[in-house]
Amino acid sequence: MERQLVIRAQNGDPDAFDQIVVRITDGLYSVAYRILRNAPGAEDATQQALVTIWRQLPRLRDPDRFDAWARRLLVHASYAEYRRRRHDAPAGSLTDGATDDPYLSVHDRDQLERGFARLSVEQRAVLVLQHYLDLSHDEMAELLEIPVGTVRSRLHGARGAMRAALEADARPSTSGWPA
Amino acid sequence: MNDRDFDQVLDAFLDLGPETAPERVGAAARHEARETRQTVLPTWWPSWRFPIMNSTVRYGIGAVAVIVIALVSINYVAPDGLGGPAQTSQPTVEASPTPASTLDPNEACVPLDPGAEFLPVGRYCMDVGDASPVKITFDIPNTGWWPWVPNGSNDFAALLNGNSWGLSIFEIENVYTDPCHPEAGLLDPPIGSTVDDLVAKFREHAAFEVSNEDEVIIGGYTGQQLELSVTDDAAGCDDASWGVPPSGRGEPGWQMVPTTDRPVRIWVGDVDGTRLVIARPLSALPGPAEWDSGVRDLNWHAQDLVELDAIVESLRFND
Repeated sequence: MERQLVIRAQNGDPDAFDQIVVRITDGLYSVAYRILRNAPGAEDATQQALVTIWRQLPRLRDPDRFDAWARRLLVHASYAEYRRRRHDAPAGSLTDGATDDPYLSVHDRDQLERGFARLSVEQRAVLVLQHYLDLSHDEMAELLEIPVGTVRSRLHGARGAMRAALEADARPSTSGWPA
Repeated sequence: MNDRDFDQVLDAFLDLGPETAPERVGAAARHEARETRQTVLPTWWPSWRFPIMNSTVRYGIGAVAVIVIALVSINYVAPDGLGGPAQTSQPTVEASPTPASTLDPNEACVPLDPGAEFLPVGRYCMDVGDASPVKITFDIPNTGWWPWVPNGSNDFAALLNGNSWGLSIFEIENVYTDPCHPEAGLLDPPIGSTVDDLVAKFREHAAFEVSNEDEVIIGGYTGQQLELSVTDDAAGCDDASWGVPPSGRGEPGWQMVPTTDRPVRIWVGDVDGTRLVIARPLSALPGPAEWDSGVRDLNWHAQDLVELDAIVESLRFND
């Protein structure tokens, strides 16, 4: 994000904030959707994050760190939205529709969906940050303000659950049918 | 499937999904922003910034700052000769009786919105922090308290009543060798993990004066309550960031900062294996913003302290 634009918004310029919103909303929404797997939830989390960004912009000391800061607010808005909607049925799927990805069969995709649904929202977040945004462990720790060890621990748990979900079908069941 | 293949599968899985937001999302946010004022940042308060400490040090501290229900006098030392009014001879103030919570004991808590403006009277809850297992529930007994999240997260928040009064709740795993000079680092080996270990550290440190120790139950957990002030010897601390204890973010001076004339009351308890500290100001002194503005209403602050007590009384952990 351009530094001058951030500074103008920090100083209360709503037009500057409008420009920022136009530039970052899609990116924030994409992350929220992948964490929440729920379109209405992702919309609410993104909107909440944007409003929080506006409110708290004066507290951002380093305008050059705006993007990471905004992502952080988005992740926390997603946490809150997840907890608010945790008993709701998912309104959508990450993977509606067919995929021709060579690494992902339709069957694997369904298995991964089930595994992902069982993760905590914190585990989901680190998976999304790593595999969607390609952040390093250190970058995730800085963004989430948690120790790197906690990042690794969450990733380990999340990956284990996802791998178990993926491989569940590979294990022979007693009935001879896929599990 | 090896790890590399598995990574590629996860990459592909998480790449699926929308890349654009419905137009209404940005439009609603832009509209709401024009209806919402930005938070005014007190000049004495550090802005949000990324922690500069490396992960090793952060591990070493291992503390997770949690919720600050209004802070008092943080990082603020009114320098003589710079326009700050003298801090002596405060008038006697009267406060109303403690407002008992009128909330139904069974009322559900509302997750704290760190971006909220003034909080309505009600019951709120939040996680202590990303790395902490402790969850907190508390009641706001009167209007005028608002949350403040210096870093935009739930792991260090504030509820201010508009003039920087408040209560801090956080974890402590270690303390600085010399709180006056935090750059000297943390104690190595670190202090023990018990309540007694931390209280003993406060007692033995020459910079602190500990008084009025007592066993007090907060949120159903027994802890040691004491009043902490800074001795005259420590008044010469040259960086005015008397951080006690180190914050979870590794930055000194973010929580209660006792000075020679501004003691704090702290409670140290063990909440299901987590050593928790609650700190609040003892006296009804004006907050930093008031020193700047010249507006000081000590009766109002006496009432703040009463409400602080009510908030503490309403605290519940891991409900």
